[in-house]
Amino acid sequence: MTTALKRLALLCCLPAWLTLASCDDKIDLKLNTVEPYLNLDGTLDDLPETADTIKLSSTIGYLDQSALPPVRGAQVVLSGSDGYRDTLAEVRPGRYLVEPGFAGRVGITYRLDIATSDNERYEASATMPRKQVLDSLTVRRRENEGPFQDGYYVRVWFRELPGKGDNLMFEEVRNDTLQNLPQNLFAVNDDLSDGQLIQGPDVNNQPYKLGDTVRVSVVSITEDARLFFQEMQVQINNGGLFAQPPANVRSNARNLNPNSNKRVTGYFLVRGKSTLGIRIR
Amino acid sequence: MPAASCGGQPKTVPGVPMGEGYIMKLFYAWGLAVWLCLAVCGVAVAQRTADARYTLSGYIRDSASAEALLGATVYVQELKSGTTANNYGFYSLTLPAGRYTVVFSYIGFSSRTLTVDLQRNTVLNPELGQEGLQVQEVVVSAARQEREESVKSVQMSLQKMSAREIKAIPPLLGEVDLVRAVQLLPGVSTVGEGASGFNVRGGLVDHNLILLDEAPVYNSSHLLGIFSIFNPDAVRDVKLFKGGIPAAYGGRLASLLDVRMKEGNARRFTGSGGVGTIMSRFALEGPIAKDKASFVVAGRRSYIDVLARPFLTGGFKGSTFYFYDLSGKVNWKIDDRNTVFLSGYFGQDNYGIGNLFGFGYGNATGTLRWNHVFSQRLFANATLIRSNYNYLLRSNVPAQEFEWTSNIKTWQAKYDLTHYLNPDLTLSYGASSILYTFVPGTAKTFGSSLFNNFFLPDQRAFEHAAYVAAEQKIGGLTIQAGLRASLFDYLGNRDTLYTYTREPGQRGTVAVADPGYLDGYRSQARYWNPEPRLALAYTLNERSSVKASYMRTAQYIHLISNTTAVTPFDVWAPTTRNVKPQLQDQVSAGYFRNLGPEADYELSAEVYYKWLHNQIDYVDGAQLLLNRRLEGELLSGRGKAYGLELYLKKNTGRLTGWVSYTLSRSLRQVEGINFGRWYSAKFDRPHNLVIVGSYQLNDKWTFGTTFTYITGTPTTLPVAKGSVGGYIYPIVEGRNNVRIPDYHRLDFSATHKRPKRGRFQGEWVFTIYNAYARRNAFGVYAEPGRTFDTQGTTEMRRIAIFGSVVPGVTYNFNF
Repeated sequence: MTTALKRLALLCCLPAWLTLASCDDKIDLKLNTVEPYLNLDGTLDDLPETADTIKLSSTIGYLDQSALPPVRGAQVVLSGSDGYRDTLAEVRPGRYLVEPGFAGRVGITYRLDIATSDNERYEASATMPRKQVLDSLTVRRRENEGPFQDGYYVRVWFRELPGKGDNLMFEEVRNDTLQNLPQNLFAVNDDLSDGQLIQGPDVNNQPYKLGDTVRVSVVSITEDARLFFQEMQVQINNGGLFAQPPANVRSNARNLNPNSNKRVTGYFLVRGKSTLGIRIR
Repeated sequence: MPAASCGGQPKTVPGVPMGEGYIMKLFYAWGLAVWLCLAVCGVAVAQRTADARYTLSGYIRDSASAEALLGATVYVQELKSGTTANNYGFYSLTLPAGRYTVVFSYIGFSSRTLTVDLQRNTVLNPELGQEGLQVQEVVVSAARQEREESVKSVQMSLQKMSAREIKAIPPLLGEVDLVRAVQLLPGVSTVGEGASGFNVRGGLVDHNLILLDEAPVYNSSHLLGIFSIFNPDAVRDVKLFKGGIPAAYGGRLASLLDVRMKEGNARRFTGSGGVGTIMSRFALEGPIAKDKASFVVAGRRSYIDVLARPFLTGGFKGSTFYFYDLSGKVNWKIDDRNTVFLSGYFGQDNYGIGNLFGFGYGNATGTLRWNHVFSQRLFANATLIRSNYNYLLRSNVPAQEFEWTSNIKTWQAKYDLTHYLNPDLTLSYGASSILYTFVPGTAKTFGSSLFNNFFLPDQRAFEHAAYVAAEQKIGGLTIQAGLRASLFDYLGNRDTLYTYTREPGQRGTVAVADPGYLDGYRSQARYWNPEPRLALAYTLNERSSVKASYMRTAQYIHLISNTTAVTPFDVWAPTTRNVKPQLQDQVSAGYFRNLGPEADYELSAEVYYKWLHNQIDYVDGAQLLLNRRLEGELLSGRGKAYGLELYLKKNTGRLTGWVSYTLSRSLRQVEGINFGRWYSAKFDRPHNLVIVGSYQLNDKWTFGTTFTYITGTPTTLPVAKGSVGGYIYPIVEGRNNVRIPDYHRLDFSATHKRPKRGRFQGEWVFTIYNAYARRNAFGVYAEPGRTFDTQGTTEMRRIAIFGSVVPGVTYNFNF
């Protein structure tokens, strides 16, 4: 529906088009600022070959264009409900590395305990969901097809796991670049597709050309993570005439001292990942 | 002030059918009793005769068309007192026997002075002629009585506009518009350029009761708010009550916009119309039976789509965007005692991008009225009303095909009586019943859609009201006191009954679902509210008066919208067990003065203060569309609004117009929102300055200008940004925490009258809107970078509806 409403917004410019007037431009505005939050951006997956990092930083004013300043010198402990325990090493400022070769296990709840140098303690936890495996990728060429630009489109095929309650995202890596622009964000549950054969929906919005390489992952996430990404999708694609008032997205992290005025945002994502690659030929 | 607890608490425990039936019966019995009582009272009063006093009554009409002149004034020189005609042109004065000089006047018409030797009850139906359209050099005292009405009448917080005054304001794109004109009045603002509707004294758009010939209009906008649905060729006049709303009206908190359609010329056929930049209009009126029955029909259609068609290529090919409306009215004067009116409106907006996506919305209203003069001193009006608002959203996008419809339908019956006891005492009373059907949303899917069909169950409700009001003059003091009692009966269906639990400010979660399976519609919650209305006016001298008023209003249906401007897709929702009726108490006081020998200037200063109870607000990130658990997204809080309105109007001479300045605030407080602190409502705009001027150079040329300045709207914008997975998202604290830039705009118009050829008169209207091309922000939103080059950056973007000068030209004609 969001796209639908965006299209509506276009219509509102109609009288303006007639007079060659502009509808939408950048503006300078002074926004309020607040005490920085701790920003948690951590991922743990089920693959031993990928390095998992927990990034800690401080939030900044919305119109501050610098990078989020890293939070150094924190003590970050990862533990699992299976008894796993590891104190993470800070390999670069604000980046805390999970031990190489670690692979999360389905059904295990993982917990991060973070103690920052300002004596605040935070906690975040999530359970590894069951894993959706990708079956195959195919490629089709679209030409003169309505809203689609001409070119190659990659399709994914798999059977959705029987039993409701699965939540999925897709990741697209185009010529070694992860496609993580606001318009790429998409998360869904299996309410409408439970146990069905997923028959080749397109992965990409922008067409591919011959010689391009693509890696596609189906990412299994928790219900809470799916809601987090859906809320974020609304927030980062929320503009135009009928923009909703901005709202906070959820977070699975919390300050262990509820009376502290130091707040936390962000997400500790525990996920299963199944990846296939293809070259457009 | 009394807290929100006054009046409504649900009177029934749901799922107790025994009590249910009993109360229903009692209730209907009450309804019947009220109606019977009114009828009996009416007849009884009608039969009583006064001793040594006689009644002068009749209809005041336009001599050219035989149309009634609503609100025309009747002034008895010997008594220095008088009355005004009601909304149907009927007046009644009961005076001691004697010889009187009676002056009948109406704005824009030459007044008529008649000598009456009142030795028995007398019916006098005077006809007034329009002022010579050519002669404006010195406008004679024709409408002086009428102008003095603002000082003399007990009514305050009222703005009247005639079609002629509305037409003098420089119009956008050459198209005269009633709601845009109303937005220039003191105490009135909007949330943004071209936003749908208007805000009165810190109230929401849905706090306005908009009546088109008595029928409620649920969405007054065309083109998403840039124009309104009222065709100026079909409108007779318009009144905006910002306070002191008569007890006969209720159901909305803030204001009453009473739009009356023309009756149609009962003497000869006339027509009018226009060809403009974006739309064309045509209206025709004339007699069906001379002096007995007449009609008016008027239609408009926009044609941007036709003009733009050649430029639409690619995905935009096949796009549609147009609106049209049809208004019509027939009236039949059966005899001196009975008149029947039938009026209707039908309008629709249709838009679509290519063949992929489309939407449409529209209103349909119908009013059947019967005016009956029981006696010279008792006037009755029976009305049957139908009003419907619907919208449709359609997607043909592969895999996302759906068609989504929603509507609100109402039936209403009303019976109003006015009893003119003597010149100093008028009594009015009546009753009204409304049946609502809400269809919040039905989504049907088709083609290759991945979605399932989806619907929300209908909801129904009754809204009943009875009122009595009296106006008494005691020397220089006039007192108008009224009491309205309203009763709302929510009829729930299965699937609409949930009980919610919630943390303050958070989304409610369902604690109890479907407490009992209900196959039909049964009363689930009932609220009643007494709505006292009181107005006092004290005439200091011939030229000045002070007035004060208090009113309580109750509102039982709510427009659910959390965007800056309301959209055609917002749905109306009833009061239920979870949503309480909104209530408002308003006090206002004012000073009114006329200046100049012919009341050339009107000056008024009013202050008001409002207490608002059970105001609806929304949880952060509220999901308002197609949500079965909508009530979980709604919060309840309180509000206050206060302000000062200054208004100076020049009525006579070559230069006419007004200056208005409003200083006001509108605040809300909701538990759990904005840390529980008071915050600005989204239409809180402290400073509002309007200058409207019209200068008649000669018989051919008239020039107009408008300047408006208004504080920018408050809006919620991020206070920080967070980042996960390379995505930058906003962090929000507080509600409406930043103001967007102030709004100001200057417009010009020039009207050139062509020489008359026979009966045909044409004129060209040239307009320049937004003359210094200010990009007034309609809204501001936060936008993260959308390309790899800009990933991680953030900016604020401004939406301006008109980013440049908007010229327009229209050719109008009448014959």
